Amino acid sequence: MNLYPILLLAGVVADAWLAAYGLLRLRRTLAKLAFVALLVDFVVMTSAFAGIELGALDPGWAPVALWSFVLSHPLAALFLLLAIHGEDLLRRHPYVLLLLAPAPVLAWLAPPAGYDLGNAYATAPLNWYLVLCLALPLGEAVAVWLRTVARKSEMFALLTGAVVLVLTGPVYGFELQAVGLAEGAGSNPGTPIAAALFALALTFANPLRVRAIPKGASRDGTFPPARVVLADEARPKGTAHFVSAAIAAGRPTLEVVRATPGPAAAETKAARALAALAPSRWPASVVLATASEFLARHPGGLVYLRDLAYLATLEGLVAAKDVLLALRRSVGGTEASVVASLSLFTPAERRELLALPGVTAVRLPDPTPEFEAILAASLGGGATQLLRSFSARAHRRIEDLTYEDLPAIQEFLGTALRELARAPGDEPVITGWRKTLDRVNLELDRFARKSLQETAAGPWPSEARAAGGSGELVVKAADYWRGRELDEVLRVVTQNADRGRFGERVRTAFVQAFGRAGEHIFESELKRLGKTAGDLAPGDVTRLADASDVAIESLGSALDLPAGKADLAERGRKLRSLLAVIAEEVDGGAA
Amino acid sequence: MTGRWREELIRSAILFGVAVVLVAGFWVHREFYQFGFYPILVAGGFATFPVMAIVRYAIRGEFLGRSRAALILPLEDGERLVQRRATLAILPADTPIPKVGATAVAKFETGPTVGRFRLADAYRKMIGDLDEDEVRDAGFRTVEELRRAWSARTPWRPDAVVLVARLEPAGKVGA
Repeated sequence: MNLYPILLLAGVVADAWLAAYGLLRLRRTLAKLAFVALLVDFVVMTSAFAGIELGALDPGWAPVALWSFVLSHPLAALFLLLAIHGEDLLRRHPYVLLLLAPAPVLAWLAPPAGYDLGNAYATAPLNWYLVLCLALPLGEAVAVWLRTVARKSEMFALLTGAVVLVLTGPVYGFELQAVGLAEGAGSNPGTPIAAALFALALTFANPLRVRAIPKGASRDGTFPPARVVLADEARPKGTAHFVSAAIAAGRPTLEVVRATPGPAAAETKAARALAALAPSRWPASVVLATASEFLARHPGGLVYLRDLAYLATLEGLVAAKDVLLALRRSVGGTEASVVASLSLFTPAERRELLALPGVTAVRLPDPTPEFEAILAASLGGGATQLLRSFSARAHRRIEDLTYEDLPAIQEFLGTALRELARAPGDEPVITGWRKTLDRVNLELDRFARKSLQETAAGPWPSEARAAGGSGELVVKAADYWRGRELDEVLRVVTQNADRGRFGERVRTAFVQAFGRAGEHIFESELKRLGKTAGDLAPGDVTRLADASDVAIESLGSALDLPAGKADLAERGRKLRSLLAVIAEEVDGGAA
Repeated sequence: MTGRWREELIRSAILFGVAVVLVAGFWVHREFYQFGFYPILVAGGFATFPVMAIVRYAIRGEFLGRSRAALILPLEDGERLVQRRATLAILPADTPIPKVGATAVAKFETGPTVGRFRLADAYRKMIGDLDEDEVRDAGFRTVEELRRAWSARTPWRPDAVVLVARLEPAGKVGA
């Protein structure tokens, strides 16, 4: 019995399995469709060929084998072009579909021309078409493989698959005839190998899972269409603010972030799709495939690379640059835009990235120093104290404040300054504080409402202040407050609110260290101190920690197991560390 | 050491597989060998060499982007890894690292080998933004302890960007 058709049938099983795998696991829409179509065609082609060879099918099936064989060539070409150039290939170059057009014409010409499976590669003009279909994606894959850095591995797999198709197709066909195995000509035993390589490329470059979002506006007035905007900023706060503005204007946005342990961040905004990038074999290919898939669905969308530095760490700076250039080519001539934050890059890396051809570079400020500068222009040294008090209340660090905190900061500022206005004093003092509050709010709003271009153009409040430009605008509110420093007044105003929070934070520290038992230890130690949680002051922390140590020690002495004692001691150390951090933060905030 | 032998074994098995395929190819193409010994020697040599070279480069990963590199660790970080007190290494932002996911040899900056590790993840962060878990995974009890250790090397600036490398032992760790 001839083993060759049996070998081909084993390939059919592999092809069918890979088609099912592609259908279920791959997330690229058009490339997946073309991949599955190609594999179904391989299955039909090889089954028909092997069936005839084994005598299971009558020779009437020969045209099926022939035309599925012919069709596999344009399908392979179409698949490879889609896999190489991305999902928007058909939108940008719909004439690529013309690759399929000659197949029915040649089928119609088949009887007079006398095509048969064994001579498919040797009969003109059919062989011209077949060779063109194989050469076109092969050339494209070679060109992109040589040019790209970011997609080197992906292109290598696709290129190898294409080479396998050529070797096991026409080359092998001629060789089979040369060695006298003419009956094998017209089959392609390498289809499972090529399909496995294609599946490998599509798997490792599989787009990230992204929530489907509704179609929206294609322009937002912030990010110009067809541009890649690189934002030079310390933290990705400025870009996040302007991207939020674009989302608020209805622009569909893909935000690519670094995946962090724990539950995924909630996606609250309808027009925002979040893609979390985790370590993977080909992260650059994954990002490009995700962006390509998103932009195919939302041709006027915005792609926001918040953690470009992560991609550069995973794949190298050269690959990150290549990704930006690939995205620039991808959005060129479309309504789409790309914005990337350069936070966490070193100055030298930033210079390299900003020097990329065709990108729009903007410099964005960190809002915290700007808020501080705006407040300082009216409140002098009290500005830092106010922001620290606000951060301590919100259990956050001052450097984590963002544009989104502005309404809460303004509310806090209003409360604090209204307290000052109610303080005993004459009418000019009260009027002065009210005017100060109005002015500060106005300046804060003016800063936050600036467009991307206005913000990038500067000068920022911190720069103006450093240059001494705002010296004349400083409202000497402190002058109205007779004999007392503004810092001291603000501290008094914000102290009461912070104190209540302080007690609660200490309670939380006890619960964090000891679980539910921590609550009881905290309450009993409070009783010993003769205070309530609201009365606790940073100075009480040392006493509280010492008293807790005694309580823990007595608890430990009741335990026989050394492991239990060690665990208790470890929890005691954790409590001390937590309390020290709280006391340090409160002291720092008060300083 | 076991990991290195395993890797060597896998590479050798792949090369052996390629050699078998090539020999099978020679058998299938036996008709062509009637051209004569010397032409076949030259043509066959030219045909076989690229195949072996492609496979060799492919196995080394040089077709696929970055090649392997050793991870150089400061003494203290290396020591914490050896003692299994740390799974994270906090390094200067521009430290060269192997490809994430790759297994690489970690070395002390003075030369001796720390061990073989798989670089499970690597990312950048401002040192002041490292959270409690990260500080603990880096082998420090508190941020203050990290601050002291870091200050011994370079001045502490909370906004200094660092490279955080998550390492998983892949073989024997320590000399």
